[in-house]
Amino acid sequence: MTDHATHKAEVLLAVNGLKTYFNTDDGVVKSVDGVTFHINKGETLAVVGESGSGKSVTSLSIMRLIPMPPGEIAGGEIVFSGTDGNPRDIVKLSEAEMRKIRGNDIAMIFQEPMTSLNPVYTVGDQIAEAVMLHQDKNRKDAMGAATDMLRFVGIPAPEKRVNEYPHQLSGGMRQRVMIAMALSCNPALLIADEPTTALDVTIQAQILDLMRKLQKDIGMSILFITHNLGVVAEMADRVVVMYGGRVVEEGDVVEIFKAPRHPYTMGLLNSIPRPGIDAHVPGTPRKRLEAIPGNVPNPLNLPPGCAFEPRCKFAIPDCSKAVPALEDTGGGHMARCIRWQEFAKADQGVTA
Amino acid sequence: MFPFLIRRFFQAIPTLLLASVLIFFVISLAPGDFLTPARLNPGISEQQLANLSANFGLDRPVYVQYFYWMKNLLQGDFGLSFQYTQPVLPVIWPRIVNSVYLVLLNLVFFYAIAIPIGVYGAVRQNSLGDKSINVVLYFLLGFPSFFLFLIVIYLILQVRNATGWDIPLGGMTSGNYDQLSALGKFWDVLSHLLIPAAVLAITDAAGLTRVIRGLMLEVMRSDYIRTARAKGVSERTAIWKHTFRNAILPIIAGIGGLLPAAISGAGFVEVVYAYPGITPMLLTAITASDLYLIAGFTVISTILLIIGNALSDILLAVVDPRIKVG
Repeated sequence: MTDHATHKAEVLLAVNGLKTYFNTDDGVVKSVDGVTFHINKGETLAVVGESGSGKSVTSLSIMRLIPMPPGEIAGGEIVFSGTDGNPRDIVKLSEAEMRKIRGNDIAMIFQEPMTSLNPVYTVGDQIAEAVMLHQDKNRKDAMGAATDMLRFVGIPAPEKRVNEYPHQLSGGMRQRVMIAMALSCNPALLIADEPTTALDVTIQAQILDLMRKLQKDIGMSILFITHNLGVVAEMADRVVVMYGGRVVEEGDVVEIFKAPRHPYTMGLLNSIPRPGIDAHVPGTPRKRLEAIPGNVPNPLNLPPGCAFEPRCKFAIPDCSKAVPALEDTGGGHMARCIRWQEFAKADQGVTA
Repeated sequence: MFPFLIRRFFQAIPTLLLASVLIFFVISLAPGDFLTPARLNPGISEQQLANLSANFGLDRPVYVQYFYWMKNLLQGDFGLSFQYTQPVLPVIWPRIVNSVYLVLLNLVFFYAIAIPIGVYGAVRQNSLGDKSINVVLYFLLGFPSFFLFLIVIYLILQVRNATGWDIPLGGMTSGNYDQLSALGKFWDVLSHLLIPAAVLAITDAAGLTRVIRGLMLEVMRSDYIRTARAKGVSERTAIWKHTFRNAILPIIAGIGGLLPAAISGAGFVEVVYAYPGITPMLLTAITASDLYLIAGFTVISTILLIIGNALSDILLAVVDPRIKVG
């Protein structure tokens, strides 16, 4: 995996067997347990999963922002090729080297725009701080750059807004400020950790449009973390589905939506209404959306086999024997299920 | 800003009136008055007592005494101290000034100790250093301060005997104070203040240290600190520029309370160190029922408290953009 990921020129970031553990009083929580995926230059990779599936911890591991202790990166590598195309393992970098990457080569925006900006500094100051840190500009030039960035993300009257404090802006405006801050140093990779979850639906659409437009302008890659499959369909080129700290399915976005090969992905897809497929025929009873029964397993006490087995309607005794391997089902589509071939056959039967 | 001050001024009038009533009547409620010891003295005749009583106005009903006091107070006259038979203000003023020196130096030490230790405790939460400093500070906080000062004086004495250094043991000035130059006088007073101010600051530091540690921890967990780190700022910037600035907001809100505290004396340390501050004078005045001295001092404290609160509000608006004065 390492070889083919790093040797291809277009791979920007390759996460190989990443393990991020938290040492708590109750035991070791394996929040991320051997996660492998890669992001190509200019593409958008969506990481999908429930709360507690390890998607946020994965993104914070890439930024090396896991609080240590109690957290630790117990294994694996995160190879980042950066703007200079010179691959290096983020896990092994010193804190000082890492600071040069954070906000410069890899930037991040967060779920909560309301609380993600420092209330006692103006938004201009906060954007300018990143510019001054990474671009060797004086304060005046950095404030100018901050104003330009605010204009770039579509904030009206940026000359005035640059001197305002976060509490004077709405949630959508604050998320635009966060995006402006993240993009101020032209990062190669933008990690977006549920950037629209806390926003109104109309504002969500605006922010997603903005991110797509900016990605085209700058040519950066986006690691998009979400649990919203609608957003995935709209934004992503490829999808990684996570469950219980592991990747359970990975593949092209069309492929995943059309032919999921892991029961968890199928459950996720069945839990949202799909216009066209689930259209209500007048006169017939309305079809109920399917929910996945049960809860995410306790990360302190994961099942010995497949982590999804206790909730899976296709589970067989073999499922709880060992953790299934992530197998290639064809065309780069990977699934961690011992019965994926049966699903593939069933699909062919339906379409044939 | 100006309308705010005007409004605060008018709001202060009823507050002060009510406070003055409470101050005066609460002191009067205490059994006996300044002449009670004299009444128990068989050497003083009834006639003399009646004359004294009339002189001091103690023969009138309490509310009449209050109105006379209030009338004079409005003209800036705080009344007469019974013990000193002098106007209150000239009696207490030099003592207040002495106490202010001690308290201000004490506050400088207090914050200089509590802020770094509190921040350290938050940054290295539950480390050995954090825990051991806490144990020491709590021990000192729980230790009776007057006894600790006696131990400190004993230790100073030992050091003096062993080394022959001239470390001041108490009081505010040396015997040759009057012959010293201006700079010499300043240094002389400072050398007398250093030890009591520092010891008092160390013993009191536990409370504020704990508060700052808690406030820092709360802010360190907030989303915007993660944002700052994600920007690539250094650890020092994350802590002092982003965390500390937000964590001290509640401390700044309480800074107005320091104004009355500054004149209220440093407490028992002044008694133990034979320091000519306001605390020993107040304690004597309370024992002697020196009505106008106590009431006058308390009124000054109340006025400073009101000014201090307004000052806190203005300061908070300066450091926290979310808060507007008005």
